[in-house]
Amino acid sequence: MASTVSNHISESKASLTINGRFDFSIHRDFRANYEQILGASGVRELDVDLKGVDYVDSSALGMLLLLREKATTKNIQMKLVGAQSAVRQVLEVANFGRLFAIS
Amino acid sequence: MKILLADDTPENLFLFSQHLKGQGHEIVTAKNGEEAVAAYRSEHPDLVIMDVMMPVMDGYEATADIRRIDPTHWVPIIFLSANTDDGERTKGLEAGGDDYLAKPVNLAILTNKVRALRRIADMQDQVSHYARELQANLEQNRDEQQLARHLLNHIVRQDKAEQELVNAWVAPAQHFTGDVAITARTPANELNVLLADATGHGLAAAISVLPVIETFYSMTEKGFSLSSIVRELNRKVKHLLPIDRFVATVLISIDYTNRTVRIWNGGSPEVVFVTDGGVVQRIWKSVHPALGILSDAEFDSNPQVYLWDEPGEIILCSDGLPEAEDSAGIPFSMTRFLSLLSRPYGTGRFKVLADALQSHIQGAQQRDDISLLAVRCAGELEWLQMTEAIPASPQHNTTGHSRWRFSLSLSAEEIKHLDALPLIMNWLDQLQINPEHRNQAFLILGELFNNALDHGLLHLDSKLKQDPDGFEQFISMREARLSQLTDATIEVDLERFYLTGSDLLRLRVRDSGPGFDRAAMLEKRKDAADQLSGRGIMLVKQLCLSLTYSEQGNDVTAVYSLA
Repeated sequence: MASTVSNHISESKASLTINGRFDFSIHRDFRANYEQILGASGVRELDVDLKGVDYVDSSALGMLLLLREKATTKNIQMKLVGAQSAVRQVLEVANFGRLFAIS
Repeated sequence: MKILLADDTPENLFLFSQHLKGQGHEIVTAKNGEEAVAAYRSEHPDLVIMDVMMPVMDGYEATADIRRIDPTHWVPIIFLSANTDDGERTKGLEAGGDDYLAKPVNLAILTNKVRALRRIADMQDQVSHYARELQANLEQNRDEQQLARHLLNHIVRQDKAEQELVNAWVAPAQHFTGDVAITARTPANELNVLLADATGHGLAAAISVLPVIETFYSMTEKGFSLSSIVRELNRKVKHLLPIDRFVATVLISIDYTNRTVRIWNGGSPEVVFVTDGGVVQRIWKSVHPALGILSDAEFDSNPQVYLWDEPGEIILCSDGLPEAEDSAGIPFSMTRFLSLLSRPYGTGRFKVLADALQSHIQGAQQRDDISLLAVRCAGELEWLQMTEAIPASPQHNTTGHSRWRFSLSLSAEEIKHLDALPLIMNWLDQLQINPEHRNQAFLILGELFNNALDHGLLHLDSKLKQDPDGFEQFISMREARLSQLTDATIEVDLERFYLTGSDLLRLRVRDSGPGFDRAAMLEKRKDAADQLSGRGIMLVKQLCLSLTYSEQGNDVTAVYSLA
């Protein structure tokens, strides 16, 4: 099944939702979605929703790092939410807890 | 477009050419097959309308000839014939024609067929064009890849020397691997091992990891500490690579003389120390982000340290290994890996792991680079006899004829943050000391310097260093006391001089600590249990002509022969 990326913006809160495999194949969709969010004025918080993600690879981690940098320059607080156990493990090995609020 | 009309009936030629000219086409005519082929050759039409029944050479033969002229460039050929049975049509298509128009010709149908066939021919041209471009790109790509492979093969040193201690298995997902497993020796003969996994795979990943390789080799050779090396690697990767690219890394330094392992793991799967009997003694998880993510200020370069009492192996892998899927899509998994390696395989462990992995990935598409490394940690401690310091012969106390002299004085801040030894060694390199002597000098100086620091300034008791737990206590005490160090100095003096025909190197280290009671120390050391802590000095004594301590004990001079 193909992965999907979608976003939702509501005043100062935005969410970026990914479903399925989070890997290099979705990098264009990922970018299109975050550009929408970063382009919307007034966004202060961004939740990256990983509830529906079953697999994450190093290019996905790279995408998150890139997004984090862009969000920081726009003063947007970024969080990773809903990471399931397999994904959580990858985030742990990568020590991403040092860089992101993960819930 | 340019249309070639071939018909032996002049009235037909006239009729068709007028009709088609009226639609904007350019017309070339031929009265028979032979003329048609010649006209095709010289005029390069975009489409051919060929009468079948012609003298000299018929339409089928002419078509066959035309097709032979340039098989790669397809030009539509429409036959005209009064005979329309299937047998005839088949003959025509087999000769290389594309369509068939019955005579007498319906001009409207002719127009439509011309248009339709031309559209298909245009698409065909485009496809051919892309195919040619693709082919050219592929060839250029192939050349670039060959060059890249040549470069990479020369940068990664093919070191046969560590075959006894290190087993490595690297399986790239494509032609190039972003995984690198390399080793190098420090001047003190410690074994440094690097396993690096750059994001992604293929040529881009392989390129990402190049700066790491060079830096690892050069800093190891110069004697930089593991901590300094990993810090510099992080700086390099962060500076050179874009933000979404990083390098998961394990850096290990093994001192076989002192049976210690220093290890730094950032972003890589657990590294395991397992004894030959299959007991897992240590698991070192990734406690840092991978290289290239944190700034220098945020970066923690401190390694974890372990002293082994039972021989075993350090087993490590890149994340491609636990994620490697079999043909059913099931990953190998870290759980399986850990349970597999914690069995009493003795020295056959690596082969068991490699074989299990091989059969697992058999028949499946490999998504990521896979690396597996096993480093042997064994070797008998030599129980060396404790002896007195070798008294300097009266001659060594005279100055002799000095060639050069180098002095360095470090205060607390420098002692804490500076990797002094490699810098001093760099001076020795400039002053052209023979490489073999250079390494021994590094060993001697390292031992004297570390003693001055650990015992002279930090007042640490080496007795702790005898077993794995005590050792870890020693390490954390050392860290704590070092961070609190103030008002302290270490002075290092190096001098090369001639004395009665001998070419000598004098190494002197003085610390500002209270010194030690040498008589009492020697009494204590008659106890066999203390033999482990004195081995460094024993090694120094074996290498030097003389080793003398001052009365107070905080000033030691070694004289080494450069012959």
